[in-house]
Amino acid sequence: MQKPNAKSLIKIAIFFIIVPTFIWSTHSLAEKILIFKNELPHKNSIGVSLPMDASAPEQQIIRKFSESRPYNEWFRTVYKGAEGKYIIAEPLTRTNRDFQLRGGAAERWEISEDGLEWIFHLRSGLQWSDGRPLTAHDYVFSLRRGADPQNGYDFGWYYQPIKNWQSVVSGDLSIDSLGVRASDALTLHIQTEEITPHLPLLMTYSWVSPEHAIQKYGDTWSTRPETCISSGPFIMVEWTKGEQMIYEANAMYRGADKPYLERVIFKMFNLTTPPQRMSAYEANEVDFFEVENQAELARLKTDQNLKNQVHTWPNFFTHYLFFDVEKPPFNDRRVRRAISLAIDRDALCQSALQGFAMPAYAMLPPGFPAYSDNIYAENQSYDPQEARELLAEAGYPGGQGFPHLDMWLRNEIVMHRDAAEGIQAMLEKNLNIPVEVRNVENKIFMDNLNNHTLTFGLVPYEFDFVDPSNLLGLWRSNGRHNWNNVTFDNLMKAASGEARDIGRRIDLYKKAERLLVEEVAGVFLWYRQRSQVWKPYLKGSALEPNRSGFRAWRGDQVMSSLLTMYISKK
Amino acid sequence: MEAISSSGGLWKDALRRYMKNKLSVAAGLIIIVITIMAITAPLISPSHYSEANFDEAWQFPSTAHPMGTDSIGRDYFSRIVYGARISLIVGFVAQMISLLIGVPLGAIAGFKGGKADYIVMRLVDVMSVFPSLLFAILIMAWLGSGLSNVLVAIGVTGWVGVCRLVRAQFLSLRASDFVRAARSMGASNFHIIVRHMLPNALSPIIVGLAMGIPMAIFAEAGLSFLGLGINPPTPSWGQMVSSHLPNVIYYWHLALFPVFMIALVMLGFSLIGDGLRDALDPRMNE
Repeated sequence: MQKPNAKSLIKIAIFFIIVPTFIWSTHSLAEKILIFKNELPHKNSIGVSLPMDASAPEQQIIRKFSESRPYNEWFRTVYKGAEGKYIIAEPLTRTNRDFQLRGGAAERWEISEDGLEWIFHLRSGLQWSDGRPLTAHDYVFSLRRGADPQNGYDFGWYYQPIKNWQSVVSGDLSIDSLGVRASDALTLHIQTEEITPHLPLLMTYSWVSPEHAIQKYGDTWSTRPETCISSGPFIMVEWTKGEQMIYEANAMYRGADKPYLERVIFKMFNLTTPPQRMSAYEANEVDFFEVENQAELARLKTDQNLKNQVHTWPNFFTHYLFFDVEKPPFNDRRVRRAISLAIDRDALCQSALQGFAMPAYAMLPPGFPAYSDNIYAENQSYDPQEARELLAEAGYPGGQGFPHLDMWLRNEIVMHRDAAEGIQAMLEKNLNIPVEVRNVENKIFMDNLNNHTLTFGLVPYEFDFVDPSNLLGLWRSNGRHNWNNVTFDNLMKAASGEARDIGRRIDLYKKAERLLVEEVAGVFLWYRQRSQVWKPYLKGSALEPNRSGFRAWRGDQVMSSLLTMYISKK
Repeated sequence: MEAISSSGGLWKDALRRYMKNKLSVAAGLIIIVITIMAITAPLISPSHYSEANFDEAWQFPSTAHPMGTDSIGRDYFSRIVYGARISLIVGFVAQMISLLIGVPLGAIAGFKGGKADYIVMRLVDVMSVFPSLLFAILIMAWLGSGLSNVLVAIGVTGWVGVCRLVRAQFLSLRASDFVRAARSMGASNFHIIVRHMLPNALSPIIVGLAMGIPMAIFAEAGLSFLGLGINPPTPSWGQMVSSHLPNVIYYWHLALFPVFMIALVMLGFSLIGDGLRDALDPRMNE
């Protein structure tokens, strides 16, 4: 055996001197010894015990890219608000990675006898970062702010179930008449127009606004660290415009989701000059990025190190073909079904959409409540022969006499344009129907869609909240598309009125979706898949596999991801 | 008299001078090859440009697919070949539209002078205020996408240069002896313009045309790159570049080949223009 030489002795000495000094100063001597022996976890600066495998508190920093936007307040603007708005404010409710509802600012909630009012009971002791208590009145103010026509809020449609919301937005009623009130500091009452079983779920989007800050500093309160008061787990400490935003754990936060992380750093970018995401990730400048095209995915998959850091999961994002079913040729169900059968969804998902989509045969994606377990796949599987027969039965043998079709797309990305060209090729080959793909600007598309002047098009719908009423609701009569069906409407109505029996409610939605598929109201083509890359040292319950077996960084909007994350020992 | 006619006249002289310029000859050959390629596209391309073979998507160049395949398994070589049609059609037809607008307006302005000249030149000024691509984008946004609209948009924005050129030529020719002679013999204005002045102004117009074609092709590529050009599935090189630029980090062939073709055609026409300018200039006597 070799004798320990002087060098290794010095190393050991340094180890015993340096390492203890790294240990957080808030611990008592006894704790320090336990931490050192790896039997007691670290505590971070706000006193949260880190998981056993977490690295030291000063390393609890996450860095990611984020789009530069002018505001940082949910109820001011959603689309012009920076990502920080989700972590500096406390919503009434939150969901976990399986979209099960849990408390946020509200501890519990109940529905009134008549089903038209929800009562939220807030946790006591909640406060803003300036020490003021956070109360039900703040939520009343926030929702009124969203409905205030002066505010010009861009997400107002979402809160329509709240009583008088529409009339307040349109200016017909005063702001006081909005169906939201606080009976005391900890009790919030929200009245609804109709029975709305999913209202607590809607309230996951209720990142509260500070009335006192807005009165003092105006709309721009959220844009400067000095005035950006937080009710959430983090607080802004720096916003260098166009460069970075830094958030730190909020020491004044008294809610249920105290974070493990010490810091969150958003590296800002503009959409016109997107950053070199992959090289930044490889250079350890960021801990996370989202894959955006097949070339990136292909490169990642060929890299021995990186390929295990890619996580692919299906988003609640359905792409489908829609028709004007009131006018020929699409007033004939056989024509619509022929189109459905003539499209090889598997082929699309393996070519143009490779890695970014999975075949869809119904509106609701896997993992979504009332998901149909893919039972409609067989009935709609690729069958050009039957498609041709159906088309002939409908009076267009060999595609003869079929009008020229324009397939409208809404300002789609390349990948979806290519898929549309794939569909065009399939329809031309299998049915001899000439199709031209028209990718038009967003506003032109939406104007035509809302006026029901489009005959045929390909459009996506991404969920806003995890309830079937969201994804199926757009098929109601006089809705997004010119498809009007009384039976469907009645099923939807019955389901949304079913506030207590969840099983029955889900069944009703399943029936409604079945009708949608059988009547071929639309041709459901694919569910969008996302691929994300994060460092292996990133841990946290949000990143664990969910019920459907997928690891996903759904972001803080959907499930408060950053609040459960930590950096494990590298 | 005998000696003069044996020299072959202006056109033969020009051709002789042009053939001496090796670079321009090579450019001419390139354009001829691409033109033949465009005309015979159905014969030389392995498959139709919109024929998708989904099992063969995302392939790199191979013997079966010399330029690989795109994201829905279409043979990329076929799309490049058919894309040549669009580029050449745009180049020629858009220039023809420019000529049809620019030459008469320039001729009237230069010949008549006075009020007519004033009106036409103010119109030209107004048009030159807009960057031509911006103006083309405006027109495309108004008309919608599609090949014929691209032709109109590029043609309508491209006549200004031609108009100026023709006007300048006519201004200087108006005072020349042969025009005065023709007028003194009682020739009509129309006759003077068409038979006497236009042939003398022809060589700068031809040069302008040759120089204008690559600009038109580039404008189409630009419009298609911005998503305002030709509707899919018709292949356009500009659109192919714009679609596949993000993919260049791995599927390099999808962006490289169309970029190369655009560069080649632009260079070809520019060099032809250079050669023609030198060849048609009567002062360029060796």
